[in-house]
Amino acid sequence: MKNQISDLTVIVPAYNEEKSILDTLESIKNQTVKPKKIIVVDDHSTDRTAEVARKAGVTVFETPINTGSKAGAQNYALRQTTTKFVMALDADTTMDRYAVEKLLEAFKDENTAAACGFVIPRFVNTIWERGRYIEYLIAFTYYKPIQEYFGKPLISSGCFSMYRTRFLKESNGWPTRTMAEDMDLTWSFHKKKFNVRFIPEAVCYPIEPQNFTFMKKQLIRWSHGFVQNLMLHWKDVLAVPYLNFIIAVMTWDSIVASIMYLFVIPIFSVIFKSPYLLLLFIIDAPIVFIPVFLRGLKRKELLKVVFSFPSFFILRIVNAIFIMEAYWTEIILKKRLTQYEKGH
Amino acid sequence: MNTGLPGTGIGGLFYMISVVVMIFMEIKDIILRRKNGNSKAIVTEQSIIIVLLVAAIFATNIFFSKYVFKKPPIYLAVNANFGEKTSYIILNYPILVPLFLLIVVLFFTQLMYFYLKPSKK
Repeated sequence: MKNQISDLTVIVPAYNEEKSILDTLESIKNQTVKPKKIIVVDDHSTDRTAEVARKAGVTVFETPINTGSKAGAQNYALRQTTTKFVMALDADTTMDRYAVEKLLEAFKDENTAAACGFVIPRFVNTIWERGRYIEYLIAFTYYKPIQEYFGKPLISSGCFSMYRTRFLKESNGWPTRTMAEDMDLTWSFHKKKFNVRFIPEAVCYPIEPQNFTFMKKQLIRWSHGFVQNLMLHWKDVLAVPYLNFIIAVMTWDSIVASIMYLFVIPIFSVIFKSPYLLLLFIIDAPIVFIPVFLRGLKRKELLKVVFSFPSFFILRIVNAIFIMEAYWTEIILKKRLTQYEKGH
Repeated sequence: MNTGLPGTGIGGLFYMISVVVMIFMEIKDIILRRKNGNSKAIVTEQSIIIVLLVAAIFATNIFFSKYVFKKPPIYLAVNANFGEKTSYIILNYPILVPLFLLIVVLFFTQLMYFYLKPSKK
């Protein structure tokens, strides 16, 4: 399928992405299988995003007002999408040149609604990027292939996924009712018994939050997004085999383990003067290291893996704080997060 | 949603058991001579991972009992004070506690499904 044009539209939602969007558009143009159309949706940016995109020779839609979310921006272009397949690609994300070709193969099955790939942070320098790097290596090496085997990838990543346009339009596009539209859409597809696929050979490289300020915005959005989707879908996903178990296990861990990490372990180690209890924070380090090491070996990035590994444990504590905040705010205080703030 | 949340171990154990199920499914397909695409590659890779994971759990257990607590695990379970018993919990945490919790969570999930099923009709 080399140098072919596919029946595909790539939608790139963008808000103040003048610095990164050119790399994204170049990576689309360098695909072995090219899309028929590339649409950048400039969601009322205050910088030169639209101008940069136009100079790159792609179609640019400028929204009259900010749509309020990435999903809103994507839906703005979806209305005018007539190709058989549509892809959503974040404006700070580049792709491996075989990504489109690999994802398209998943759609040979007429029941496939969405396909996603392997995600690796483009830059791995700061403690936050390093922690996120290890997280992705674990998720996309260990968890996701197993989910794929059982036909239930948990999320078709919002930064980089391909969809069958008809199914997406029948679902009224990307939902804007939660902070995690990718999770909402994926779980909805599973409920409708569509196939959602994970294709590890299709690789993308997003820019991850480089400092705590931006990491905090992203984690707030992701954490609230998870809780919102849980509240929205929990009754229906109980009937989806295997997905129900994945979500149940995740929910349990996100609540119980976070409480243990943030409160039980530190308090008990003080009360019972048992410093050994603090070892529970890192006791799974050898276990976590295995899939990360194997993937690092495959990617010839062993040194990067070793230096990034400790950052995972720092980020884990931060993740626990934000998921607890999300549960507390969304469920106990009944204050729903509706303001969409991107990670950078 | 990120996978960097803390865990009680049931997540990792759930996926390890999933891989064991995958192995049995592959064996069944081989016996029944069914074509199954490239699932063999996924099963092989995940099997290698879980073998190494189990080895890592045992290695952690041996390391802590031999060099940190300097007592065999069974001693810590039976003839030990509270502080030492916490050491026993830490040593055996990777398997015993998550296994119990996982069974409870999965059982509860199925129960919820059966309970809510009639009301959806």
